[in-house]
Amino acid sequence: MSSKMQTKRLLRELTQLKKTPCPNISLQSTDSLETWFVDIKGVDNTLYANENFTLQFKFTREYPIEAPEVTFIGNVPLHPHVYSNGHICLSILYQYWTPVLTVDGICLSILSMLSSCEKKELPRKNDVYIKKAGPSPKDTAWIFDDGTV
Amino acid sequence: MDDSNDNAHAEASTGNSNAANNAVVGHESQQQQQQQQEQQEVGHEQEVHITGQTKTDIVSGTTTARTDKGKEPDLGAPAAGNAAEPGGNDEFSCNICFDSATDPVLTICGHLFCWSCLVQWLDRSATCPVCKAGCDKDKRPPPPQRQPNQFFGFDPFGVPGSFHGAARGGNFVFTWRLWLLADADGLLANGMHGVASAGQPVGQQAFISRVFMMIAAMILVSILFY
Repeated sequence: MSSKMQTKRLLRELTQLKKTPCPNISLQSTDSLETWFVDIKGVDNTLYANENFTLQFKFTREYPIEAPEVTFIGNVPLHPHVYSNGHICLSILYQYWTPVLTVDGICLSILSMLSSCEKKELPRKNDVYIKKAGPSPKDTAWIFDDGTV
Repeated sequence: MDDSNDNAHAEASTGNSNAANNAVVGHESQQQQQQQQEQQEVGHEQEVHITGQTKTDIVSGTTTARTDKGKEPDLGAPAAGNAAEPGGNDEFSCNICFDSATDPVLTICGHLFCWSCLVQWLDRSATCPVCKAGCDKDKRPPPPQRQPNQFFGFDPFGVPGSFHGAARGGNFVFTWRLWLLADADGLLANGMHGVASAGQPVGQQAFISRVFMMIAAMILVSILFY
């Protein structure tokens, strides 16, 4: 299901992404406007340099009023804020979402989060979380405790 | 395992999940209060020039700019017309849908939105999507074309766009007649539809009584203004 607002806005973002692509961010071709796959490449001179990851964006009918569901799929980066099931602990994806944010803005934030990492490690209590968590990270009650990202 | 008070940042339960946020939120609300104070100082009377007409709206802290569809508010910058860039980069695009703003609303913090986009967002969060300045429920902009009449203090007919700003200007009667004509057209169409479908006497009677009401209203206006 899509709404007029969602379609209009996603088409605009799509044109903008194609017109001015961001470095290290590339959109996979997709036949559905509601689910996008975006490839991101680790920034040079960081712990994730030359590593490739894929982000899955699922847009609800209420997008951009409601945040998209963003998860890593396939190769999940080893990062203290990324759980091994692909869920990302990033405030702007949940409580601090605003409709001003775009797909490339989210990718940039995630790249920035990866780039600022000093030690590749699993989040604390990763095992507990992936057992308890539902399929969507938006159902999780997140606590954001790291102001340095 | 010490599950209780360490700073693991995800919990599947909602138990004490707000504790860590409170500090941040509290800090933010202080900022918002400051911002609001500043805004109120500045925002007592702001004028928005709309294609030649001047209209002052004081909607309890929110300045709104209303234009007809397709017209752009002239906010001191050259009007961009309808040439919205496909990327949504033109300066009159809504910050939510990225399209040219329809029923444009300018928040007191200076950010432009479509009225419907902004209201949808404010239903979820009482903040400006761009700068997070606070916007309480009672400070949200009124729906388009349903503002209380500035001259009478209320909108006697609930008619979209009836004499806004024109009440104090010279073209009051002109606007008024335009409304009557527009309404008569609408009634005529309704009346004819009534005839065609089945309820002919009801439709015709309503039409005739409305015509009499219109004439009475015109006489009243003539007495008042001549």
